Amino acid sequence: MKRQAIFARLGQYSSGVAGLVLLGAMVLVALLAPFAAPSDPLALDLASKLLPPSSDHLLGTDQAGRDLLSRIIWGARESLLIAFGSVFFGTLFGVSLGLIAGYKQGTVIENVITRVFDLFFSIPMLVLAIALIGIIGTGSISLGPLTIDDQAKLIGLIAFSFTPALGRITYAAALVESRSDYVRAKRSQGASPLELVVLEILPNSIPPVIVQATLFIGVAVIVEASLSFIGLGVQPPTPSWGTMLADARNYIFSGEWWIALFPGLAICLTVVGINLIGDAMRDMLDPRAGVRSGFI
Amino acid sequence: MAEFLLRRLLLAAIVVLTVSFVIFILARLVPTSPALLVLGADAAPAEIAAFEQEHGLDLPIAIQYAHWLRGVVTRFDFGTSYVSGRSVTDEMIRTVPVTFELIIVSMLLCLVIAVPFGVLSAAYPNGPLDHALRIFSVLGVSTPGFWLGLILILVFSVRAHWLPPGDLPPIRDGVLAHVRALVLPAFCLAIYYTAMISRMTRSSVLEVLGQDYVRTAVAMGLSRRRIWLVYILKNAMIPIVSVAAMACGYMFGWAIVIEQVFNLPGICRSLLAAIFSRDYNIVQAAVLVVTIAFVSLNMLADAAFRILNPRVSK
Repeated sequence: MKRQAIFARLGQYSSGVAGLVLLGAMVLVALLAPFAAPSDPLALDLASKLLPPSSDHLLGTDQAGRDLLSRIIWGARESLLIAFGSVFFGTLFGVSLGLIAGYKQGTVIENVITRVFDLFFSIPMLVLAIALIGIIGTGSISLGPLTIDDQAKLIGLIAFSFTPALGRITYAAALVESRSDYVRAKRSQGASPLELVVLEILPNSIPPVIVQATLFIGVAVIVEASLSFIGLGVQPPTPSWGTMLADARNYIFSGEWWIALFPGLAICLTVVGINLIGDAMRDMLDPRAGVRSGFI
Repeated sequence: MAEFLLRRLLLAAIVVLTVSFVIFILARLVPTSPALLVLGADAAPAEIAAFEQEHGLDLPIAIQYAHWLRGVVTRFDFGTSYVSGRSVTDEMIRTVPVTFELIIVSMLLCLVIAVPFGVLSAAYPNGPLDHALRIFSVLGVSTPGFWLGLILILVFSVRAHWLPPGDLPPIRDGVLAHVRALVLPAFCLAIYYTAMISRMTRSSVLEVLGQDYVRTAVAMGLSRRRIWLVYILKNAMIPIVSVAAMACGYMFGWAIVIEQVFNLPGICRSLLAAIFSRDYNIVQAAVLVVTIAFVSLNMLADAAFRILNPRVSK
């Protein structure tokens, strides 16, 4: 191997590790928020409002005297919960539908599912999601014993908008796999359809899905922050990176730069970490895929 | 090709009708009447009834939808705004060009940066530009455009006073002021797709470079200039054209946030304002316009790919 190629390999590997470290640190901080945050993220202290970063408040305070570092740490919980949750459900639905469509090829079921994917692909999802959340409102809805709060709504909508892309990728892979010889062999040995789909087709179709799902976690963090920023996501006073930036907008002109800078840096670091992991996984699992970013 | 276009047109029509119908139904199923928001929470029942009658909100939903659709299709009439009482069509005519201009400028900016960046880093792999692209392509897709907007306003407007922090003076009041006001928002809207497209350009050029016809052209002793322009770039740009068209469609979603940050009087900001004031006729019209634009751009992307790539069109 040429020396340059070795360095390139090493570079890919190390960037994936760097991504893991970044995201791992964020997840750890989010999980340990009650212990990691130096003070209560909701505690108002008007005497110390809009303080620049100092040894008392490492990242400064906001307009209500709340410690920014603590709010960013608690905000990590909101962001990561919604991002991981929406990608989890999006993958669950997308993979299930994609597997069914791929396994049932040549049937009406395949036709209906792929048409539905086509339909949802042609919809400007972000615009629709914003309009839907705006109309149904951000408050909690009670459906019998079930309460749908702002978080659940965000997770549902973002998951919904990821489903067709993940479904299509699964479908394309499942289509190839279910025609392959090893699946035919298993079927002739008397394996049930469920066994075939879950034990044979699923594990072999999943690598490209994992790559795309990972990249979608980063997209979800940005979408959640954007929705919260325009007031249609996580609702104040719950700390989230998007709502903190919405507050920051009012203090841009008076020079309180730290309110705008740090929550955004938190978003950037998290998403960079996720994208580095996603890229490294693509190189390992799905090298033929070329560039596949979260297109949204 | 004709059959393909027909199928796509049918799908487009279904998409547009479905989206507008879903928005229409949901808006009317929400328990709070827009009358309460417009007239105030303490409005008398008679006033509310009068308001609902005036705007046809007391009719069955299906009939309301039919009325609305007929108005749009036959007279290009989107009804009146609940809040201002003015024609929604006029509002659309005022705001749509702003958003279209923002998106076109963003895409031009994106291509002007991304294509040379991608081509040069593919031409000199592992060179300094290639390393820069690797870093930029990760940072660009990881930076929320609206946050970049806040930071750029801080740096270029509040500290340096170089560029305006927002608002869009009409172009007839001076081209320079108009263009200056578009620089920051266009850049923030473009950054994500610039990162994505520069990386796609790079891998597309690299793929073409490995093709036999390029090797043949080199072996034939054609000039470097001719090889790059005719053999490499022409073929490498085929997927990029489609991606650029699709990206324009996706930009409408992000424009909602960017127009909010920079206070631009576009259709996306008007949509957001209407969502908060429950001005459903504006929501309805804005979503319809955006959906039609999105669907058309997607069709354009598909058609471009088929026309430029003869192997697919068979």
